[in-house]
Amino acid sequence: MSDKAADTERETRAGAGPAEARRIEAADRILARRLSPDWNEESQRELDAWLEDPANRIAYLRLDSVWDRAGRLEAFRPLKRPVTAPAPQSRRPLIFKFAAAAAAAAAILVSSLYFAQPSMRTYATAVGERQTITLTDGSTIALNTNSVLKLSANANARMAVLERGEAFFQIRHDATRPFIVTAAGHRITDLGTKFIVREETDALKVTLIEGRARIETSGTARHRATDLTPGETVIASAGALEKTMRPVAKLRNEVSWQRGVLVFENATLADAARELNRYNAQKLFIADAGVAKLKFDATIPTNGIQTFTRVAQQVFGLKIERRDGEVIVSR
Amino acid sequence: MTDTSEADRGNAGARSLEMIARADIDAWFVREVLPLEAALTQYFRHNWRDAAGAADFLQDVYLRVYEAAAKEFPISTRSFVFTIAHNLLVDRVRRAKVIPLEAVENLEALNVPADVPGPEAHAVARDELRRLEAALEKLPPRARQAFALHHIEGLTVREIAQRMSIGERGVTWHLNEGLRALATALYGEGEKP
Repeated sequence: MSDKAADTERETRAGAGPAEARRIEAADRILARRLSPDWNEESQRELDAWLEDPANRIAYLRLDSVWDRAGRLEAFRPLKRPVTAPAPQSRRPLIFKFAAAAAAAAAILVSSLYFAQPSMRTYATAVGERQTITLTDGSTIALNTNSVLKLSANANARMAVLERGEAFFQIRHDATRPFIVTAAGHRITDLGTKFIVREETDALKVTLIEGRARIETSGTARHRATDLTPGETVIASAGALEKTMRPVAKLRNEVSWQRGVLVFENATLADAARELNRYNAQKLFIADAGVAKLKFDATIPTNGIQTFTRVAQQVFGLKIERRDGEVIVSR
Repeated sequence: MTDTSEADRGNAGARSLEMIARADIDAWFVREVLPLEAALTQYFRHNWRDAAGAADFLQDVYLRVYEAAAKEFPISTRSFVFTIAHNLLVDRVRRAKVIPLEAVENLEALNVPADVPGPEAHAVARDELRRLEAALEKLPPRARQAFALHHIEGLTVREIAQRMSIGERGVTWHLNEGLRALATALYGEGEKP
């Protein structure tokens, strides 16, 4: 069909009633966001504005969830399956018709496509932001401040790459499609779990809250692997895996950022400042080594620089100075 | 020392809190409300002579459900959604005035089954694929081809245009058609586990 014919047909089609017209527009916007090569911040802003209207938002959510689900069809992509593949599908007539028709021409293209990029989707949060990603399999991923996560899936695995920051994974187990997280050269394979992955300056911290998971380090000459049990934290740095254990009840505090607060127990001011700095453009700076070691308990909003300075002033009698986007704490 | 006032006061804080809430509602809407579409459509068809208005009716129900949930999350999604659907239908009957008022009493009694985990909750990867495959088979042929070329073979719009010998806007037109038809097949016509 020519573009012009498409436009004419679109006009007739739109006469189907207000809900149908809205669906058509929503579908167009989904296609533009998902497929347009020149999608940019401006287009995103325009889309966000359109989605402010709940009526638009509903039509969009409904169709966008279908597009997400259709992504599963990738499983039918003709490629060789491992011998461990689950029982074969009972029937797939239509898909095979397509596959057969396209196979000859597409075989090379398809395999190169598959190995090059299994269509990753990127999620990112700015400093102070957080985002919850709900996957169609019922798993959820909460992305903390200043983080970048990429997701993709094929018939044999669900994959996430944490490029930066911290994420809390609550994964629905599927023996036929393990969930694999890669971060800083380490690989975590879930066995039906809740776990936190956090990238630090020169190490990766993995905390298991529930279930089982395995962490493997790669990249260095020696391949190491260890299994995690609930309450365990592994700090993986270049060439070393270090394990610590805490009561599971204490781990709730590790994900309190999901509620927008940070819980400090017997923490030093330096620890708290470092943590708050992850969430705020304005940075806390502790000018005095003695002050840095002072310990306290507090629950502070992630954007609570002011709460922190109030504690410093009222509890410890410290001095606060504001200068060039920095908040300096000293005696 | 709990201090939430700061989170409320800071503009950026308040905005991000609101975003979270909306993301939660969005997720809930997709996870729990949309799977009721088949039952809602059926309910509408039983009680309204003009089946053509189903899409508009669904849109009205969804809008009220979404806006009500934004204020307070329901305990039981199913009875919440059907209560809203029932009230909307009663309103419609009253406004239409074509049907005598007694008809309102005859509206299918609000018989909402207890919350049981829907088929969605039990869905495993393979069932989902079978369902998608069946839904895909219901699409018009050109829309189905464009959809398969993108989702199965991973082709871009430009590549699909070449393969189907049509313009790129023709491709998005077919994908648009395909997406809406797939939604109706997946949600509207029911998902059998």
